[in-house]
Amino acid sequence: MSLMNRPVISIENVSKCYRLGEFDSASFGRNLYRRMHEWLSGNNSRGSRALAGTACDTAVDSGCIWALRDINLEIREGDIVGIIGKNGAGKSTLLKIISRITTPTEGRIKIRGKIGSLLEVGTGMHPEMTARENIYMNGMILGIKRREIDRLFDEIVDFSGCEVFLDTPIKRFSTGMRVRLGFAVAAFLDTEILIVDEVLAVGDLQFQKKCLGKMEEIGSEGRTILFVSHNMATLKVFCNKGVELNSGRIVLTGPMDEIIKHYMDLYSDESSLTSHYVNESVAADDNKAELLEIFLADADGNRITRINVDQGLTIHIKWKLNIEVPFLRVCMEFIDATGTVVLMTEDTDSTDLYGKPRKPGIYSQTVTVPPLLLMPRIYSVTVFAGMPRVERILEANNVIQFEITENNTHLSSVTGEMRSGYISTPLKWEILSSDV
Amino acid sequence: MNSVEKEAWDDIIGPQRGLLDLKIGEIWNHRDLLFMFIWRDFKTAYKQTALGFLWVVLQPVLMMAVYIVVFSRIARIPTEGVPPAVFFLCGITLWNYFTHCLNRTANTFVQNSNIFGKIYFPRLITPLSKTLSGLINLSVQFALLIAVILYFVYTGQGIHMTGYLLMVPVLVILTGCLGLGTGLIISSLTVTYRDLMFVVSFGVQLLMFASAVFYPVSIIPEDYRSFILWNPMVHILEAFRYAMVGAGAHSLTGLLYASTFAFVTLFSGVVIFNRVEQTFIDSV
Repeated sequence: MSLMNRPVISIENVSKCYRLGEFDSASFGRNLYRRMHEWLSGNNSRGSRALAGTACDTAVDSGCIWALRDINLEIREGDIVGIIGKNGAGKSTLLKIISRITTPTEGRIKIRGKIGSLLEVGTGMHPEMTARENIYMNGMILGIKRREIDRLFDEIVDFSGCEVFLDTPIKRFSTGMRVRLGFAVAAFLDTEILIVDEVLAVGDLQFQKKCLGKMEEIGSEGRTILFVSHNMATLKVFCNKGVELNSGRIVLTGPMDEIIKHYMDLYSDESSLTSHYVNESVAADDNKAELLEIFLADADGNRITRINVDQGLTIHIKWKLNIEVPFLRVCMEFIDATGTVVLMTEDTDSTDLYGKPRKPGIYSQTVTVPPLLLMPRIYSVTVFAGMPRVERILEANNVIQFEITENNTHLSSVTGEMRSGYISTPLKWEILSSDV
Repeated sequence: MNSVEKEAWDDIIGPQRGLLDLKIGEIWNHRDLLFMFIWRDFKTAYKQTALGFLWVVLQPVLMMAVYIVVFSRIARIPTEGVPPAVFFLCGITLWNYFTHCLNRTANTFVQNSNIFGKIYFPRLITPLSKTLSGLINLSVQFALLIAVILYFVYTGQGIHMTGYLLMVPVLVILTGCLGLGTGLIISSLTVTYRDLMFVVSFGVQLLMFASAVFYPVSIIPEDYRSFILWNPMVHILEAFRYAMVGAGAHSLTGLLYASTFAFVTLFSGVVIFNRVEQTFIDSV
């Protein structure tokens, strides 16, 4: 076995438990009471913690929530590992423990080599100090020695593209420039292991590409990278190994492609989509407006969660207006998994309601999405209503989800390759001449 | 393969480090960062102020003026035959350093929770840098003190510096240790009990009254004296005034007591801080 493949991070039975509600009020009496209680009942906190662990899974028990349970993982030199999972799956907690920001409750992690952690770009930069000084300070916070920064200084400046502003306090910098500066410093971190948490979500597209390029370069040097991201496309290109976390446990490890596929399948599982929402707690006319119900139906009026791309669908929405308003529009946004608003539609677009007052009452409305409009993907729907530039009187973010599926249409491809873009409408192509 | 596997690991992260596993070597490795933080404190302290660094001198001068009026002219507190200006300025100078160390380190965790939550470096660097950057202000104010003393020596007003002057660096270190140690303990406890933040702000003011900053120990009635001598700052301030202007009742025993107190405080502070540092981020 070559040196390249020796393990550099070995995670053994790591669990992490967060206590709930104990610290925020910091009530001395309650804390004292708990200590007394534990002391009197003859078990210390560690004992009760272990007990709770066997009894219960990830759930909240005795004011304690397990963010990670029994994680065992070995990461070998040169691996570029993508970690995926839903919000709250434990991704960030795992990275925090590996980068020593907090300690595990149980288990241990053995590390070979120096770890550079990039949980946030530009950490510790001071607005009153110049770019030059901040490069040094940020670098030192990340653990680079002064001599080392001296050596890399020109490269860092070059990469960040702010040579002209070197002696300007960074409070005069735009956010984008600060991010660039921060990433430039971090990118030149000469550590064996690099931990990156969703840092690439910032900065413009061009710079993101530059960052990814730099990270690929780091990866090709045989350094180990741990990467958390929600961007499957990036993970797919970038990582060779994947880890899927769910509720604090490892679901699957293996090649990144397989992990992504497994994760996407899980995500599109019927049970994880809510296509029907009923407001059961309608308050007495406290709010100016209230969403009562929203659901999806196909052309025949059947309730659905997913529908083929060549079929139209109708969204039914029922809501209550408690006051009279001089002008109102009801809006709906279709948002894809990356958070992009693919389409926004307003009820004043196709009705004669524009500019007219609306009386209090319960409104039932529908909006129809024609066939071959949205790409086959999962969408979530956000509904809001209000007077433009005056007030929003109703807002329901990501209230339902639906999936546009694809089966035997023009989008079907033999290779199974996903089409890019947002719109599935087939356009008209013509061959004007062909020289066969 | 086996020989590779057996190769030593560089670091092992477990649930809790030992109580005395203080990782002092790590601080040495991060000394560049320590100096960078000191430079940052120095550079940014008086940004966007009209008078800038002048405040370092203005503050003790104004304090001294107020003390002369209130404590010397109105309350008629004797100053052991030394001009009140010098007597008060001695106390103000060293006391300023103590409060700087205490105030700036007591909020370490709360104030730095953002950066501590994002990146690891030895946390002790932060309070340590505050303690050391306080030395910059101290040296400026000390220079002012020397200037005032020289003025009175020149005009022949019965001031004599003593050989004790050589002790001044030791007294400064003791003050720093006390301030830092107390600050570390408070910052660690503040993570759980935010109440302490309020205690610090007026606690320091109360402590000043019990620390012989503007009065000599000799005027304290016998009954109270043994009580006030429990305060280590009293011994340090008395020794400091004796060193600078030859006034005050210095005692070697007192200084030994203060040194022990300072080092025990600092050591406990470091141990507690080291304990809290590992998981505090979970509770903010």
